[in-house]
Amino acid sequence: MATSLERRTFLKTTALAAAASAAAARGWTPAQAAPAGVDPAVAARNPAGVQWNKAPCRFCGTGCHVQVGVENGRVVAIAGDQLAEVNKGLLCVKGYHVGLSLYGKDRLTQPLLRKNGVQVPVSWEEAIDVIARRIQKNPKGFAFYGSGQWTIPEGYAALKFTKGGLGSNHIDPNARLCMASAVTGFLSTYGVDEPAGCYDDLDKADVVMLWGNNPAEMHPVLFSRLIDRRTRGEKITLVDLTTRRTRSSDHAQHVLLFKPQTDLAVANGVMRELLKRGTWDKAFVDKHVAFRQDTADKPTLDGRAMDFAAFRAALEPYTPEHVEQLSGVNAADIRMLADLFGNPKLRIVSLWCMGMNQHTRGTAINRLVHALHLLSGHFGTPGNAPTSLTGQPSACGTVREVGTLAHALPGGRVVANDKHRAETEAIWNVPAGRIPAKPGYHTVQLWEKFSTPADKGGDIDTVWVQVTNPGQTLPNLGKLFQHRKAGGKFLIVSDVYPTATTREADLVLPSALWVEKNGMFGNSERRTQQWFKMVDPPGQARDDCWQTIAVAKRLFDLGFAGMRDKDGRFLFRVTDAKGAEVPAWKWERYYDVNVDKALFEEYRKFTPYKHKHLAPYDEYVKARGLRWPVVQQKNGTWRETRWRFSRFDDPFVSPDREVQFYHSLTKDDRAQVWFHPYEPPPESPDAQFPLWLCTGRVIEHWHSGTLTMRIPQLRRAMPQAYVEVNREDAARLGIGQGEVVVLETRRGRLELPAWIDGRGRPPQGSVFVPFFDEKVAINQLTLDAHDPISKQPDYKKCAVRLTKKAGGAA
Amino acid sequence: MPMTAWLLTLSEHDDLRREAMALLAADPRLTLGDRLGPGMSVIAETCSPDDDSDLWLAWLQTPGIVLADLVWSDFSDLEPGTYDAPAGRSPRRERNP
Repeated sequence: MATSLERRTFLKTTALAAAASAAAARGWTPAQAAPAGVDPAVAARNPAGVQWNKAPCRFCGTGCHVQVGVENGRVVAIAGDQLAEVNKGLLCVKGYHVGLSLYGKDRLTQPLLRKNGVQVPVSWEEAIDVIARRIQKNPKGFAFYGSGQWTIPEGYAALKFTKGGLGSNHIDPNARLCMASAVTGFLSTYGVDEPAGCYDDLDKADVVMLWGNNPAEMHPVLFSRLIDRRTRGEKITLVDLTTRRTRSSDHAQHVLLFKPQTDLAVANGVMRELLKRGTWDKAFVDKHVAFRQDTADKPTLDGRAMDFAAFRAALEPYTPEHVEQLSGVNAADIRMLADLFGNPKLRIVSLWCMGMNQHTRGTAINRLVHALHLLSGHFGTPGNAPTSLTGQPSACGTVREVGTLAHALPGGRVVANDKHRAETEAIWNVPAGRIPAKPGYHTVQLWEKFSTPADKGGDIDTVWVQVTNPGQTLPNLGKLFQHRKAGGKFLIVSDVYPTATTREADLVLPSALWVEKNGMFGNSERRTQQWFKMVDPPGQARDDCWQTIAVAKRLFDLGFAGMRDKDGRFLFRVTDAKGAEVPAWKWERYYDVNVDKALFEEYRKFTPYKHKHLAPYDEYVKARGLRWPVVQQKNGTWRETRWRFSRFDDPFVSPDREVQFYHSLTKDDRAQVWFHPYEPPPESPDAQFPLWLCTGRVIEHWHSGTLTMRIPQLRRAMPQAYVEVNREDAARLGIGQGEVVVLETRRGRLELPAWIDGRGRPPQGSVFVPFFDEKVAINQLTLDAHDPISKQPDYKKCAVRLTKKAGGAA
Repeated sequence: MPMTAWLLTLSEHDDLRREAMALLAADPRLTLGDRLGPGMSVIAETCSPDDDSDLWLAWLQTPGIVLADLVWSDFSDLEPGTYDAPAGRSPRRERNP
C-alpha cells in the first residue's frame, strides 16, 4: 500500500496531467504537449487501487461523460472524460459533485409503509405484495409517473408494464413539465421528434440565439464550449432574447429584453422583415417547405395548410414598430435580427429550453423558431440549426424515444394509431387489443384526478412515482398535490432520499442511484449512452427497473392475465446465453444477467420506424455514446449521424436530394413553416397582483435539489431560495437587500428573502424565484394553465403581489 | 482533504488577467500549472468540501476569471454517509381562500 504522501503526490501528478490533457482537447495547447499517460482512466490505476470506468453525468441533458473512480466499493474520484466528444474532459461544478450525491447520510435504505398514519419499515416482499394487490384490485385506477431520469431500460419496463401489462395508458413523466412543447414543435414541423443538428454546430456557428435560455448556468459545459471559441479569437455573436438578465446575458453582444409571452411577436416580426426585404431563402423554401396554421376551432398537432400568400398576409401586421409596442424590444433590434437571419453567409444556431417550452403557447413558439430557420435557409448545414436543450439526462432517450407518455408507444408511435398499437402488441407478444386507443391522462390531468375524491370523478386511486419529486415540482401544488385530502388514494414513491413527495407517500421504496446500477441515457443531441454498475446501493436500496419487474412478477403469480404474453409466459422473461429463464424478479438473481441489455435489445426493434435506428447494446459499451440514427456499414461497423435530413451525413436522404424531410407531415418531403399570432397569456399582472413571477433554476442546484442540496459545497454555495427583485421596484416598495418579503398569487403565498440586483436581474415589474428549495415551495404559487397541444404548464409567467412582511402591497 | 483540478479561462484584458493570476498565486491551497493558451490549470488542495465551495464562489466573482471548468476531483479522504440532509422540512402549505 502506498503511503499517504505518495498517494497525494500521485494524485497531484494525475490532476495536472488531466488538466493539461483537457487544455489540449480544447485546442489551447498542441495535443503532443500534454504529458504522456494523461488519460486519468489509465493514469489513476494507482497503488491505492482506484478503478476507473465511464458513465454519463447524472444531472442535466447535456450528456457529459465522466470517469468514475471506485475504491473499496465506493466512488472516491470523478474526472471529465477526455474521450467524450460532448465535454472533452471538462465538467461543471455539479458534475464534480456527482459522486458525492450518492453519499448523503439520509439515503433511503429500506421500504417504508404508512401504517396508522406513520411510515414504518417493512420487507421488500411485503412492499411488492402491497403494490401488486392494490393494482390487481383496480388496474385502470393505477398510473405510473416517472421522468427523464428514468434510464432507457427503466422507462421501457415501466411503459411495457403499464401499456402492455395493465392495458392502460396512464403513464406520464415529469418531462411533460419540461420539454413536451419541444416535442410537439419538432413533430409538427418535421413529422418526427428531436433536433436535426447536434452540439458540433456550436463549434461552427457564427451567431447563437438564446431564446429564453440561460446555458451559462443550466448547460455550462456547452456554454464554455462557445465562450472558449471566443477566447481563442473566433468571432461569435451571442444574442440573448430573455425576460430577465442572466449570466448568459453577461456574455452576449445583444440582450433583447421582451415582455413575457411576446416572443411570438418577436419571431413574427423578424419573419415579416425577411419577407419584406426579400432576404428569405427562396430556393430552400421552394424546394423544402410548406406553410401551415392552426385549425379554426381548436389547435391541433397537424393544423391546416395555408399558402405562401396567406402566410405573408398573416405576418403583415408585425411591423418592427408594432412588435416593439407588444414586446418592448426596439424596432431597431427586430431589424438587427432580420439582418442576421437574412445573411446567408452567417451560420446560425438557436438554443432554447424551459423559456420556450414552459409556455401556454409553447408549441407555437417552438414552431416559429423552426420557421425562422427554415424560411431563412439556416438549416441543414453544420452551424445552422434550431436545437432544443433538455434539463434531464434522458428526457430524450427515455421519454421521447422510448415514449413514456400517455399518448405514446416506443419509437415514435402513438396509441391513437391502430397500426402502431398492433405493431407494439406484436413485439410484446400480447393479445391484439391489449393497448387502448385512447391516450391516458397527461401529467396535469393525472394529478388532478389523483387529488380528486373518487365520487367526484377522481378515477386514479394509485400512483407509483419513480425518479422524480412531484410534491415539489408540479405547478399549483395546492390543487394538484392533494391526494391525502381526497381519501382512498395510495401513493407509492421510489426515490433515493426523503423528499416532499416521499413524505406524503403511503409506501416509500429505496432506490439505487446512478452508478449503483446499470443504465443508459439519451442526451439532447440524440446521443445514446451506456454505463455499468460500479458500486452497491446502500442498505436495501434496489434498482427501479427491478422494482417494476418484481411487481409485474407478483401480479403474474397472483394470476393477473396482463402480465402473461400470448404464450402464457411472463411479460418480462429474461434468459441467459443458453436460453434458460433467469428469475430476474429475485433481487439476488437480478444481476445474473444484464437485464438492461435484454430490455434494450427488445426496445431496439421499435426504433427503425421513425429512422431512429440504434446500434446493438455492445456498441454503446465501447463508445462515449452514439447519435441516432446509427446504421451498420458494409464493413460491419456502426456509424452515427450528426446531421439529419441532409444528404452529406444522413444515410436516409435519397441520393438525388440535398435535404429531405422524409417524415414530412404532408408526405411530400417538406417541413412545415407555421404561422401563429401573438396572443396574451392566460394571467397577466393587474391591480391586485401587479408583477410578473418567473421561476427557474440556478447553477448550483439541479431541479428540486434532492441530490444537490445534500452536497455540502453546493448547499453552502446556494443554501436557500430567494426572490430576485428589480432595484427600482425594491426602492419603490421600501424593500432592503435580504429582507424577508411575502409573495402572493391567486393560488398561494410564501415568505422568502429578497435579492436585489443579484445573479439574475429581472426588469422592473417582474420577480424571479428558483424552485430547488423544498422549504420554499414556489410551486404553490405557479399556474397550472398549459399549452393546448403539448399539455405543458407555464411556470414562467403569472401575476404576483410582493409585499414587505410587515404589510403594504406593491 | 479533497483535491481538484480546474481549467480556468482568463480574461483577454491584461490588467484583469494579471490581477486574477496574482490572486491565484497568493492562495496557498493552489498549485498553478502552466499557462495554457487563454487559460491555465490549477490544482486545489483544500481542507474540506466547504473550502472548495468558497474557492469556486470566489472565482465566479473574480473579473479576470471568465470560466472555471472542473477537470478532475478526488474525495477519497471523506467518510461516506456523512453529508448532512438539508435543514428543515416542508412548511405547512398556505392557500388563499
